[in-house]
Amino acid sequence: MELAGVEPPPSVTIIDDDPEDREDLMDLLRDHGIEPRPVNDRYGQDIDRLVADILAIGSSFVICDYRLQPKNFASFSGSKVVRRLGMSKQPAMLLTMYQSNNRLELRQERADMPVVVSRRDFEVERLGDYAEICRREFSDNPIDQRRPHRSLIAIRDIRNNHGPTELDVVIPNWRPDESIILPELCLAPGVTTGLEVGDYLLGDVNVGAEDEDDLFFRNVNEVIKACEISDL
Amino acid sequence: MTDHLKFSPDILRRLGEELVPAIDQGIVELVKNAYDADATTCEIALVGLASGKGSISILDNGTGMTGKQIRRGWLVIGRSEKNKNSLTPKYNRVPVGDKGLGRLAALRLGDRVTLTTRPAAEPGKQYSLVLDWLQYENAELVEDVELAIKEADTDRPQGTEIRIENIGDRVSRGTVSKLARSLLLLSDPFARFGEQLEENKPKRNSSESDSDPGFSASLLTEEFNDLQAKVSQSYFNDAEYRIQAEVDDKGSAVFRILDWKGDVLHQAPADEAFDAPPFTFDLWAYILNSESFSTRTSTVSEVRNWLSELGGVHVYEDGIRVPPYGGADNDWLELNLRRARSPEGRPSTNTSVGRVKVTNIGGSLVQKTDRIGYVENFAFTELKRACVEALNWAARILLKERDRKREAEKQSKKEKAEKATKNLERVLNRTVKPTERRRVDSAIRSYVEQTEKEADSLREELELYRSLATAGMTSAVFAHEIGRPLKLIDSGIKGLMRLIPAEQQDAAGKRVERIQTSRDRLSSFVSIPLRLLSKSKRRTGKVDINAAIGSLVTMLEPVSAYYETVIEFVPSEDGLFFNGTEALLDGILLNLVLNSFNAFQRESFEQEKRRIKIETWSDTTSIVIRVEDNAGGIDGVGIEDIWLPGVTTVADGTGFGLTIVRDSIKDLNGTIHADALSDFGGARFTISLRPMRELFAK
Repeated sequence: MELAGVEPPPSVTIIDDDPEDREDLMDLLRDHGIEPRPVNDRYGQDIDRLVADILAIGSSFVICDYRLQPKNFASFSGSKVVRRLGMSKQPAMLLTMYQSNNRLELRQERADMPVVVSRRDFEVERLGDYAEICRREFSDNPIDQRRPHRSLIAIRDIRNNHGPTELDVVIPNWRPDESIILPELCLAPGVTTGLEVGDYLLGDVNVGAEDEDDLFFRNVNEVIKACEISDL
Repeated sequence: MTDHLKFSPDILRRLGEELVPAIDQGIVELVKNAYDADATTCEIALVGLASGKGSISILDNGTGMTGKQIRRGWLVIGRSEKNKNSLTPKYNRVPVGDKGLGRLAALRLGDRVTLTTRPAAEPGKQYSLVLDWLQYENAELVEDVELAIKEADTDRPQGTEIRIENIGDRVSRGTVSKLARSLLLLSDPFARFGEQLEENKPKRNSSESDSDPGFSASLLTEEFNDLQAKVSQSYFNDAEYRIQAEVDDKGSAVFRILDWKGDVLHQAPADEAFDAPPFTFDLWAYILNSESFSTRTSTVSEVRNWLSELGGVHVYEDGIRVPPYGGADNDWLELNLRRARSPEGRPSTNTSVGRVKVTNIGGSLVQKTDRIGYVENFAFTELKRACVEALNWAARILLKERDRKREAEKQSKKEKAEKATKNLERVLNRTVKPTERRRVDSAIRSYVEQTEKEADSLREELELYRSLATAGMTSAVFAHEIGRPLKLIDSGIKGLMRLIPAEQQDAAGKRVERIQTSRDRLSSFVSIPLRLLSKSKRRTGKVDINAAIGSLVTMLEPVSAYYETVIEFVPSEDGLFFNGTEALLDGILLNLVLNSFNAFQRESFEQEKRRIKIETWSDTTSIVIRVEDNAGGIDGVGIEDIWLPGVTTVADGTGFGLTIVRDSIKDLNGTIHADALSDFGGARFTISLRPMRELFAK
C-alpha cells in the first residue's frame, strides 16, 4: 500500500453494541496512547441522532462495528453509519467479522466505505493510515487500491434460488481466473433484465484492490450481449 | 550432639487433607488396609451425622496388628509403596494400600481417632491407641505429642476397628453417595458374575489365590443398599456384543469380538506389542431399543438403569478398583468423543460397561498420591493405547459387518422387486385381454412414474437432511474439541495473573474478567449442539412437554441474554405428555426461537423490549404449544411459502428451519398454524399435538 507510517489520531470514537468488545477495543487504544471515546446510548432507528452525536464528539477518527443489532444498540447496521459519516467527510472505518453472508451485503456498500477491516486483521498501529485513506477519498484523490477503472465484467453464472439474484462474474482486468459473486443489487436497475450467462457488463471497479472483499462496483450500467461479441 | 529434622503439626494437614482432598477416597484407603490385612469383610458405619458431631467407624475381621506393627507400620506416615512382590500371608493378595497419606486424611476427618486391634498372631490380646488431633494443634512439633499403645486381654475375635469421632459437618450427603458407590465398586463386582463371564474364554493371568474367599466392604446406610440392589443384577447376557483385548506379560495382544454367549465372532492378533503390564479389557456394548430387546427377558429400562449406575470402563488392579476410571463423568477412553466422530460401531458410556483387569505385580503402574488415578507414565499410556486400539479394531470390523448387511438387504430388495415385476407380468398376461392390455400397461406406467416422482422428492429431502445432519455432527465434533482450548484459556489466565506484578493486578483483572466472560459465553454456546445431540433426547417414549420446554429455555438463557431477549415460558397447570422424542420437540422449538432472534435483528426494525413467549395448554382434543414474539411479524414472504425449503427473509438464514418444523410436526401427527402478525407484536406459531392417551387408545 502506498501509505506508511501516518501518525495515529489522538482520539477515536467507538461505536460497538457489545460492551465486552467495546471495552476491549478501548483498552487496546489506551495501550497505544489513543484516547477512546465510546458512544453508549441506544438509538433504535434514529441514525440521524447517532451521526449527530458522533460528529459532536469531534474525534478525528471513528471505528464502527458492523452488527449493532444483537445487543439492541440500533436497528441499522454499522455500514450505514460509516456511509453517513463519509457524507459529512468524517473519517471512519467499519470493523467486521467478515463472515460469508455479510461479505455479499458489504459488497453492495463497499464503494462508499473507504476502510473495512476484519476484527482479526485490525491493527491499532495502522489507524493513521486508515484515517488518511478516508481523507484522500474525500478529496477525490483515492489511493490506488480504491481508484475505480471502467472494467469489463464477464457473467459466468446467474442464480436466483429462493432469494435475491446473484451473478458469478470474472473481472479479467483484476483476476482473469477468479470468479466472484456479484449481487444483482450492485447493478444499475436498467441492466438487470434479460441478462444471460456469457454476457458482459461494464462498470467502474477498483481493480487495484488486493483482496476480493475490497472490490467495489459503481455505475454497472452497460451490457454487452454474448451474441454481439461472438461476431468479433 | 546430633540433631534431627523436626515437623510442625501443620505438616499433618498438608500431607493429609491437602494431598488427598477427596474424603471418600481417604476412607476407601482405610478399607484397602483391611483388604491388605486379609480381611474378608469390612463394615463402615456413619453414626449421628445429622447431630453435627457424628462419627465413622471402620471394622474389619483381618489379621489385626501387634503393638510392634502399630509402632512400625500404622504410625509411620509416608513410607513408600508396600512391596507388591510380597503377597499377604493368608490369602496371597497383592497389597493395594499405599503411602498412608489417604489414611491420614481420613483419620483427620474428626477430632479424635481410636484404633482398637486384635492381632491373629497374639490371640486373646487387644491393643488400642488414641490420636487426639487437638493436642497436635497446641503442640509445637509432631514429636511432642506422646502416644500410648495400651495392651489388654480380650475374648473377642481378631480384627481391627478404627473410630473417628467428632467429624462435624465434613461428611455431606454427596460424600456418602460417592462413598457408597466407591465401596460397592471397590472389589470387582464383575467377578461376581465370574462364571458366566469366564465361559468360553481363554485362561487369563490372575493373581487371585483359590483359597481367598473374597472381600466385601459395605456401608451401613440406605444409599448403599439401594445402590447394591441396582448393581447386583447382571445384564451381561443382554449385551449385543463384547469387545475384548488381552495383553500378555510379553506385551502381545489379541483383540476379539464375542457374542452374548461368549462365542468368539472375530479374533485377530494386534499388529504391535504394548509395553504395559498384563491385563484384560472387556467392554460389553448394548443396543438400547425395544426392537433389540423384544425377545429378551429383561427390559430396556432395566438395563439402562443398570448401565447408568455401573456404566463406564472400570479399572481393577489385582481385584481392587482404581478410581476414577469408569466413575460418573469419567470417560478416560473417550468413548463418547469417538462415538460423536463416527457413530457406527462405537459404544458410548451410556450404552456400555467395561472393565480393565490388570495385574500390577511389577509395579509399573503407579497410583497418584491423591489416590485418584494413575500417574500417566509410559506403562499407563500403553495400557490405554491397547484399549483404544482394540476399540478401533472392533469399530472397523463392525462397520464392515454393517455395510455388508446393508448391501445384502439392498440386493435382497432388488431381487424381490424383480420377482414382483415378473409376477405382475405373468398375472397380467393371464388375466387381461390383449385388447385391454395397452390401456392397463399405460395406467401402470403412469402409476410407476408418479411413484418414482415421489421417490425423487423423498430422495431430495433426504439429501437436505443429510447435509443438515453433517452440519450437526460437525458442530458436535468441534463442540467436543472446544473443551481443550477452553481449559487452556483458563490455565493461561491463571498463569498470566501470576506473572503480573501486584500493583497492576487490578487493572489486569478487568481485562482478564472480559476474557473469562467471553470464554463462558463460548462454552455455553457450544454446549447447545452437544445437548441437542445427546442420545437420551433421541429415545422414543413419553415426553413431558413442559419439562422439555423448561429445560430448553434454561439452555438458551445465555443466548437470549446475549440478544437482550426475554423468553417467557407459561406452562399449562397440568402435565402434558406426548409420545415421541424430546429431540423432535427441541428441534421444533429451537427453530422457531432462532427465527425470532433473527427477526429482532432485521434492518430498520426497532423493539426496545424483545420478548418471546412460549405457552402450553390442552384443549379437549389436543395439546397446544404456542410460540410468539414481538419482532414485527413475517413480511417479505407469503405466509403459505414460509414452509418451503430455502425460503428465508434473513440474509444469514438457511431457509430450512421452518421446513424442519413442518416435517417434525407431521412426524408427530400434529398440525401447525402460522399467523404473520399477532396481538403480541410479531409472528405466532400454534402447534397442536395429539396427547399421549389418544395415541394409546388408537
